Amino acid sequence: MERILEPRFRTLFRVLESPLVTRWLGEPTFDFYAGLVSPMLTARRIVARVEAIHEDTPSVKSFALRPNGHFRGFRAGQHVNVTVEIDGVRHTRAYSPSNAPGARDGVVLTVKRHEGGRVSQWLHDHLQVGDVVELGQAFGDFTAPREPGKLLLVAGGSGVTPIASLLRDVCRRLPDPDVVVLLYGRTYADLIFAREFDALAREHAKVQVHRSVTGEPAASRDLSGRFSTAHLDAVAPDAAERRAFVCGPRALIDDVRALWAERALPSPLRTETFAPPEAAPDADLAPTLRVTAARTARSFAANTATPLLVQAERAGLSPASGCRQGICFSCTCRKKTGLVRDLSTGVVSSEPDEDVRLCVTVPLSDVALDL
Amino acid sequence: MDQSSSRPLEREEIEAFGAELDALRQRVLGSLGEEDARYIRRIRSTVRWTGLGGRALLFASVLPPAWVGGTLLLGLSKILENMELGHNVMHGQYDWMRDPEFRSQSYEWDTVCPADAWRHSHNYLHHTFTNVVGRDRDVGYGVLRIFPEQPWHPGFLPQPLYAVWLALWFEWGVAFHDLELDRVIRGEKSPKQAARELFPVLRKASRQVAKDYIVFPAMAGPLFIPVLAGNATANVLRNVWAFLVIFCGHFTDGVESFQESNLADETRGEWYLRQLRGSSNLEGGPVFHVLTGNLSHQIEHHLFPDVPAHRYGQMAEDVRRIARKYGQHYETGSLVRQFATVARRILRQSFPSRPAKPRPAIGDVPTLQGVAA
Repeated sequence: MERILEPRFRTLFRVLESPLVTRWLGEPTFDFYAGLVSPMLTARRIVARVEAIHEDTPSVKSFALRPNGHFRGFRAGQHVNVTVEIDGVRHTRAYSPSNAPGARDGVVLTVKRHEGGRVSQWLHDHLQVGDVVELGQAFGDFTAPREPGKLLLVAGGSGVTPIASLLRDVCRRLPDPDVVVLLYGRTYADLIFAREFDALAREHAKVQVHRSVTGEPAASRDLSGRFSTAHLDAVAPDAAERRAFVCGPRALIDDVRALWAERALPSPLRTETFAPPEAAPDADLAPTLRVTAARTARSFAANTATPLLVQAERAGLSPASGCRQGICFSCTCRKKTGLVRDLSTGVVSSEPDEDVRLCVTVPLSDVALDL
Repeated sequence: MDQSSSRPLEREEIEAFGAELDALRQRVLGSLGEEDARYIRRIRSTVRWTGLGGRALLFASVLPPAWVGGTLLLGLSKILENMELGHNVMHGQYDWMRDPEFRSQSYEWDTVCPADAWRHSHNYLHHTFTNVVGRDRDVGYGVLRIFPEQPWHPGFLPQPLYAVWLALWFEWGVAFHDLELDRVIRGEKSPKQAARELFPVLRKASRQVAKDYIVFPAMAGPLFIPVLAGNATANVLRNVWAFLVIFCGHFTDGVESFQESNLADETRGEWYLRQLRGSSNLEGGPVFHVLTGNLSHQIEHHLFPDVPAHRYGQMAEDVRRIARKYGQHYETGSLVRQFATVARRILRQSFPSRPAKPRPAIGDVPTLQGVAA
């Protein structure tokens, strides 16, 4: 049973995804009864079983997941949304698989434990082998072409996960990959995967791995401090010929971008960061924010004091609405991204994919709504 | 008779009263978590298992006890689904879980009325304009005269019969009630608009009819008729039960009705006060409360429509205390006693009657109104 639920056995899942099940039986009904057979058997939802958990460093764990047949796979460098339920509430976070894509390997998510990060802490403390979590289809364009040519991969901190996937992917697929890897971390202990990367460098002549630490003395063979022109010149004098991928904190991205601009490097640069949206000052009435209505592909300028419902209507949109005072939930709308405050509760929400009542919610940052 | 026994409040008192209820609401919302998620999933599972069991027994209904048991079990499943699961989920009581299965905007329930129409007529019209004659369409469901403020005409004379008819076919009454056919007849709403709204109702209705009166009976082969009869009886059981609970929520003796003038500039505190005065509770044991979808705590439901209903029982103690502190009547009683007053009201209002005297509006408006009169 378990075996035929895997992505390799797609036919069953394509049948389930047809309107037959969802229209006539109802998805929750099917999932309820099918769940008695196996939690992996669903009408549409992508679920994955935890097959193994590996502790990479004291604050980093890798979770090997085996998704069911609804999962369409991923490309190296993409993200996958993971949904877990914590104290009755579903939380969704995007993680990059750190393994190379391949039919047999499932998805390996490498998660750093963040102080105050509810989901990462929960994954570290509660997720067990055999548990089932919910996934989304892979997304994102931090990906390399099939024949990428020469590569420069720069990673900062836990931004190494999509970089690891890209490196492993080219090392598996190409006969003689030409890759320069530059790893940044506060301490040596923060350099996740450094040892695995060294092993790949030994196997492939043109793969070089360099590391730099910013928060402790560096060994003589390594670089030291933040990304700089000197670092780039030392490890990749041919940077202009290399397709570059950078993933890490905002500051690292800014440094690399600035250098690329300064030198007017012709080579393509792809960047990725995981920074939360910045909050605007509270009482700011000027329409300084941008609200995007994803479904209608429209957007409008917004302030931080007027409920989203009113602002959307002023902008000519017509969201469903009712009492306009937070009672009837007629205007409930999925917030895809952004920071908002619920005026009736005072609660500030920053998570993606939360339901908000537009009539009592004000934006605190740029927001994307499912409108 | 429906003269308020509640003390008129000064404006500051009303806002203080509202603030206490707001604080209670926040306290409960802040404590929502795994327990509540487990509760609603247990209800969901009970709905599924009783539904499956009921239909399975009906398939074995060559034996009469199996028919009776199957019908009762299916009726129970439908009651639980409509009252404790569907109604409450569609109020957004479980939206905080962010589970698509319990999401207010996408939930569809096991009754003729499409969920979208219900969210409009019930969540918006009824809960915002509770017991405001002319605005809250649940006052008499467009067919009954409940309050003397509704103008009388001879058509209301046989209304006790209408009421029985409505009780038996309540799900159809609910489904058509959002179409506002009475307003179409009076020329207040265009037939075109009504026709546009009719389509989703017919689509949902045909689905329900196909399920209970064609597909499942056909699956039973030679037992087509007993299964059809069992399904129909289960639907009627649910209809009558829902009618009883809902009519006892707002039309008992101790509740008040309101005029549109009450709505002008209504504050949060005044809205709370109108909800308290316009709703009425039922007393009973824990099973009774679950079977009513906790609408036995109608007052708490109207004060806090988006708080998970299984918390109302515990909140009721605080609400009672707050009501007493502000000298407000808290209407409650047994189902039998309360329904007797509803039945008497339906009988009485089938004959001409006049509002007793201009009742004091909420807040410090009465003095103003008195001067105006």
